[in-house]
Amino acid sequence: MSNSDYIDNSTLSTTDAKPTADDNTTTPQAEPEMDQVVITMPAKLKRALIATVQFIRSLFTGEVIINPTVSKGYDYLAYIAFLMLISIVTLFSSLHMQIRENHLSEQVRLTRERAVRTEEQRIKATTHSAIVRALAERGIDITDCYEPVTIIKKE
Amino acid sequence: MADLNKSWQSQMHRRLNVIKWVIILLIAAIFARLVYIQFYDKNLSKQSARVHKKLISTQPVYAKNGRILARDGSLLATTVERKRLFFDMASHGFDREERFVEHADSLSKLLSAYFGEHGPMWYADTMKHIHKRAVRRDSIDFKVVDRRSLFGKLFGSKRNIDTLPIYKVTRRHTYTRLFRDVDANEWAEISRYPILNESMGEVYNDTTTFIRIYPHGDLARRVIGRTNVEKPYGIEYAYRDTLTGKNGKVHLQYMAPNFKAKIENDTLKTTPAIDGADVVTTLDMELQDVADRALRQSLTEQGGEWGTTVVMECATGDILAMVNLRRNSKGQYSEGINYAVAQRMEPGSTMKLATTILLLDKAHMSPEQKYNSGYGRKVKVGKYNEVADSHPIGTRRNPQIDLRTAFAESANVYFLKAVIENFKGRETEYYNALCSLYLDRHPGLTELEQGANAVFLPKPGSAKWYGSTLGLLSYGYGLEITPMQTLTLYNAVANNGTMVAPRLVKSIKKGDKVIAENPVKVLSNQICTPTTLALVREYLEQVALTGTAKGCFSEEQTPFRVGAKTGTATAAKGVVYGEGYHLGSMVTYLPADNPRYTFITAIYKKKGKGSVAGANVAGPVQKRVATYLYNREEEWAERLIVSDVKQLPVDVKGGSIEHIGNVASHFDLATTYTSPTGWGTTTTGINSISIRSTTADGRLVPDVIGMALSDAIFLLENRGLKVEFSGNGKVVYQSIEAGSQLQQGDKIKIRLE
Repeated sequence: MSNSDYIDNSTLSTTDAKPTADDNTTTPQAEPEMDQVVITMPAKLKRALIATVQFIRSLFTGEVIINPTVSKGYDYLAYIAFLMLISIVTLFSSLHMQIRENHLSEQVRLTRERAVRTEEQRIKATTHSAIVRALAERGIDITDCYEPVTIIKKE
Repeated sequence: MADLNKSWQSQMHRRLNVIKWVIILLIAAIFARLVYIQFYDKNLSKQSARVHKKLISTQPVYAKNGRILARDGSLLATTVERKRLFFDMASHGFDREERFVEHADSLSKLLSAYFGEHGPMWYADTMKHIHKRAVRRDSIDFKVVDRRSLFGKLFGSKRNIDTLPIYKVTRRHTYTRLFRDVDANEWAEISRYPILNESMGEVYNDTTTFIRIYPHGDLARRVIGRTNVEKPYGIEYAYRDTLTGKNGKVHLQYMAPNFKAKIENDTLKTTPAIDGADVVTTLDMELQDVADRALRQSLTEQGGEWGTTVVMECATGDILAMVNLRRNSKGQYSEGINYAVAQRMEPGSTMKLATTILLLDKAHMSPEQKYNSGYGRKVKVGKYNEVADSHPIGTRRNPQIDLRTAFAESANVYFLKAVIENFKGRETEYYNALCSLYLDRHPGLTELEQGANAVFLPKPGSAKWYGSTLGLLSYGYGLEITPMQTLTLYNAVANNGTMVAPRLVKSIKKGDKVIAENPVKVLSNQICTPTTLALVREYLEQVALTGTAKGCFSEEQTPFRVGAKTGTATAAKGVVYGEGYHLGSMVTYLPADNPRYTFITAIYKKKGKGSVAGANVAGPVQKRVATYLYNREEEWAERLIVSDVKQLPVDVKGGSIEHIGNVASHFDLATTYTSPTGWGTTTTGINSISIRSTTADGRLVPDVIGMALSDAIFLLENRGLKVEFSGNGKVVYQSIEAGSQLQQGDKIKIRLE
């Protein structure tokens, strides 16, 4: 690999000074002025950097999908996308079902408690003793009927 | 330049090499760590558990305890959730003073309106008082800005903020309950109130507890039972394995804040909760209520120590009601020990049924056999026995009585003489015959009471068999049995000789599905011959009509016929006799010709307040239970005989217009009305009825003239008036004129004629 491979005149110059023909003829004895030094990047590194930048840019611009390498794996990508879609749908449907189950369980719990309370109130209000007590509060004294009961009409 | 590049390159390579080695070392370190964790780390399981715990949590799934149900499916016992809230008045949520004051006041008003236990001031004062004590703020001047600094120059001179007061807050976290435990529905309502709606941070802790509730209160409390006491009892105890469910567990994985999803795999198995089953009893709570009220009243009137009433269905042995009341230290009566099952005592004269059966069946004694009753005098029979009847039986001139009279009048002397004459020397046969009537053991239900003692029937030849024992047994002494045994025997007679075991639990259910039935258990197919059975039933009816129970069930007393037997026994207080304690009892079956129900009442009391005779002590309770049972059985009720003669009503009372219309249509009356619904008063013509609607305006007093009492009370009380009434019939006068403006709570007098 020749030295020229490592020379890049266009970039990474750390100085405003223009390189001159003398620059190539400097000797070890004559140290170059610091403001005249041009540091160049190896071409391989530069290419890798450019490729990386281009790839990143293509990701944003969408050109990545026409990349020949990528386009070869369209079927795999589509499959992965499909699997991801299924995964998302499953996740959300399970979430939805679970929320629904929780909601229904809560409704059952509330309804059950309401039923218990209503029944408790019904019991307390409709027993023989409760009716006797309620009537007694109004001054109505009921006594046991010792006469035979007569049914007038039965539905 | 080439050298420079070279140097730069070598520098870059060096750096890259360094990075490379750093990465390699990092990977190596990670790998080494992995190996270490995998094979050598002692904390591996701990670490793993920590991560696992963060991601996966296990939650219990609480099983619901089973319910106890009455025979009609109504609730006797069930488990409900209750939420208990503890307020932390020192919490950060209350830090903003003005906000706390505002919210505390709102909450106080709402809590007061909801619970009605205290006024709003009570809640507000309690909260503010505790908050004041719980949070102490000490102010400290804290220098935050230097005046000489640029910031200080810019702002400090204008706004004196070089020092700021900051507070050192001392919190005393104490937890306070402001209101009773609430159920889920109540919580759904009050959780919307300020502070409770979590808008102010973690200001309270809530705990959920499961409690057992008994909607019928003290009714049948001993029978239903309890488990959270030192000595559990009742159905709750006897069926604890059936009623108690088994908790399960579920594994949850963290998915997002406030959301965890259920997961299940090979290692994390979900265990479902197994709910307890429901126990369906044979109890009829309406009847239980009637029996409870009757026994309570009787005990109160007579100052009894304790009493028990049990109602049994003849054919099945189903216990429809079982009341056990005892006087507590405050002199009130509440459910105590299950005396019916656990209290063994000398039964007294109710034992004479067994003696009669034995005399007729085993000794083949003629029912016409006569003995001298002694006419109330003390009579000595044989070497050891001496007894007198409670009252003179027969006539002074002719104290000779037959078995029928002896049974009806409960003649101790007669039975003593008959047994001594017929069974002397045949004691073992007598004993075996008593055993065949289940008088030597419990017929069932002992599982309800842990302390249910074995019954006591002395065996001939044993140390407890004395010379007087045979004679004593004839009229109900010398043995100790429970009221349930006596009831089972009488029920066998009522059930055409078939003795069935008492049954309190009918089936076990899960949801609507019956998972286990408790069949009727027959103890003896025929306890005596049909001839004997017919005779004893005749005697029992005689007791009710003309004998010792005539005060309750004679033809003048009740329209129905029963079989009954009374018993009065001198009882011991503990082991000491002679302190005046008696056991008064009565056993009855209804109706006499085709019995459906058998019931017993036994009351233990001291002589003094009223009589101690079974008929007087237990009779009123028996009569009330019998009357209730008789009145509620439709098939025993009389039917109205429909004649061909057309009847027209003289008067139709006012009330619900729909009901009036219904009555009118039955009598083919032409009806005119201003509105087809609502309430109205009537004018009855010969063949027509005119209904005038009363005002539907809730602010006006309605016209109730001509209405029945029930309709008038309903209408007036619905509008907020307090009603006082007198007389009966229909309303003829109301003290506030119809149509006038009413004031809520006004008193209105109505008179009925």
